[in-house]
Amino acid sequence: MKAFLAWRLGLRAFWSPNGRSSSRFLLSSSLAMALGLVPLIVVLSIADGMIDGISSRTIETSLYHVQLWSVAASNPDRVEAGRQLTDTLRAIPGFRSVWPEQQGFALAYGVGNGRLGLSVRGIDPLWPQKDAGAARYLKAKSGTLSMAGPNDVWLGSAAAAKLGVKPGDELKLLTTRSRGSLQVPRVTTVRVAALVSVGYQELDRLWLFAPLELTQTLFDPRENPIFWGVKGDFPLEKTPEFLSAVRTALGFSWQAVSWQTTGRSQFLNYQATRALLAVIMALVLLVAAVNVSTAMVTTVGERRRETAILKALGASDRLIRGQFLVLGLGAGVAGSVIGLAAGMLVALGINGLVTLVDSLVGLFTAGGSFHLLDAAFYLESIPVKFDPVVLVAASLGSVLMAVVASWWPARRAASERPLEVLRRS
Amino acid sequence: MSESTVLEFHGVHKGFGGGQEPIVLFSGLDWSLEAGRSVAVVGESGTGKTTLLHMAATLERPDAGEVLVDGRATAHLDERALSVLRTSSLGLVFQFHFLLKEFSAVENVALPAWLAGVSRKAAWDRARELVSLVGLENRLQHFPHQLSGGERQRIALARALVNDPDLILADEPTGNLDVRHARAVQDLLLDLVHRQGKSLLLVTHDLDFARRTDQVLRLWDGRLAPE
Repeated sequence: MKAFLAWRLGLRAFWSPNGRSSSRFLLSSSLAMALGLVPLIVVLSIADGMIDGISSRTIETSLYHVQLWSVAASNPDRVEAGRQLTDTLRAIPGFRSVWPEQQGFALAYGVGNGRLGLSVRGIDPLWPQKDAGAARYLKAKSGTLSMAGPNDVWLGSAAAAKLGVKPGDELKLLTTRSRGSLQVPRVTTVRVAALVSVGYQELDRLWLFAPLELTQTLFDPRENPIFWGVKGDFPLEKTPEFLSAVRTALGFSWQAVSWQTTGRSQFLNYQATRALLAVIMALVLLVAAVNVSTAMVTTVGERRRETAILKALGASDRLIRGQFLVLGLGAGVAGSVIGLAAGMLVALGINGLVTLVDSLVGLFTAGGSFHLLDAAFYLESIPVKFDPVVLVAASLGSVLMAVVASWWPARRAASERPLEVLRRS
Repeated sequence: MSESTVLEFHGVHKGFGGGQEPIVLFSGLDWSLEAGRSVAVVGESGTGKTTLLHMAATLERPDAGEVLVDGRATAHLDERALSVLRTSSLGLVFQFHFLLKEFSAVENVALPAWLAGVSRKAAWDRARELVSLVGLENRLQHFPHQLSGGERQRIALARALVNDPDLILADEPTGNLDVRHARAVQDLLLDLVHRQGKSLLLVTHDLDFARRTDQVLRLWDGRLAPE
């Protein structure tokens, strides 16, 4: 009954025709909370979208879900090993395909004076066509995604821009192989068949894809052994279970490592950046909560007379406190709903907003080429991911902060001595 | 304590200001109010009439001595217990109506019943009944700003009675009203008190109003004496 009364008193203060002061409190406090919540929602949604986008691209086009390294032989028969692995792993739930790869390093010289260190990836040319994950992200920006000739390669589009090459151009690769204690250099001329992109410039400026047959001549298999990349179709958080199943199926002749190990530092870096951004944005929310507290102090002051009347009529301190906490809760809930909706809208429209800002600022800058975000460090378009757990947690956190911020003013109201106020009235 | 008293003051001391010139209002006041009687306290301003009423209402504690309401000693009760006592045993009417502006007339009347833990429906029914009793059944859903001064004070009267208290404490209940409305509210208050068998402690400057009660006491020099 008393709880009902606290609700009734608190809510009535918002919506009564005479409750102007409390309506003002609701408006200002909920707007403050909403404005505090918007950056948090936007940052978390974009960070999650970025991490998700970069992670899935990296895993599908580079790290694989699981990498397999032969313990028994440094250069096992590729065709036979591939067949055996496929047969063995097929029974594992979520298994999609397995692909051989050899990686090495080369210094590339373009037709001009450009030169660039590249990660050379020897692959099965059918990989980006037959593997759904690779096909989804690895696209030819120009040229054709085939390796018709033995020296046909695909070059990352950002790397091609730096080297000044286009499809059809030749490229010289300087590689080394060990011979005894010596490193013997070798120059190989390749033809660029396609410029490829995964939509993430950080990766696009690193890579050169070549037929596995070619890389086997470029690199010593003892130093750059072939490994097998296993692809799967399962939620990324299920990776440990998948890895465990792979290890069990293959036994000790293969060493299996998941993307969580091979990309550990990279993903930890993403998570740390995300956490840091979230903390900074939560500080904005904290400032908003302080504003709620200040507004509540004002409201408590404006409602001293009503508080005194209630206490004179027999209202307990708890009821008085509860009434103001209901006010704070109302502001928190309203602020969270508004902030959540506004934050999601801003996040969804972030690409348009960035373009708009670029255009507007470009009007007033020399050359008109202002870029709010350097695309070199981001995906081509900013992805957004709404994680229900994150959104609910941020909203509930915002409500909780509003209630906590109201606690002290509510406590002060409860300790009011009614007689002093009634005497003045 | 007598079985028939609703309010007792035993050796009550009360003063204000702890500085060089403290004001002593009561130094050992002994007085009691019998059940079912109406008593008016008159006196000059500053003699302590309102303070006496506030101590009776447990809104103010005596410096020493004991105030008993319905036989219960109040000096050592905490705020929560005093709240319960106020809602169950006392009906307060002030010079100003002190209605809550966000609540309608009937809700204002029901409020002390809600505070006392009475169910919503029972409180609502009782409040409607009392609003009708004070002649404002056509103003049930009106807010205080939609009522006249006299109507507000009648609603305040109804509110004081909603928990069926034994003792009504009224501090200049008609002090803010014009003569016509004041008379109507006085009639209503005295009628309700007598009809429902309540006790009344009335503090007023209005001698005509005071004389309509069972006994008029003058407060002078911290003592209550028959007028």
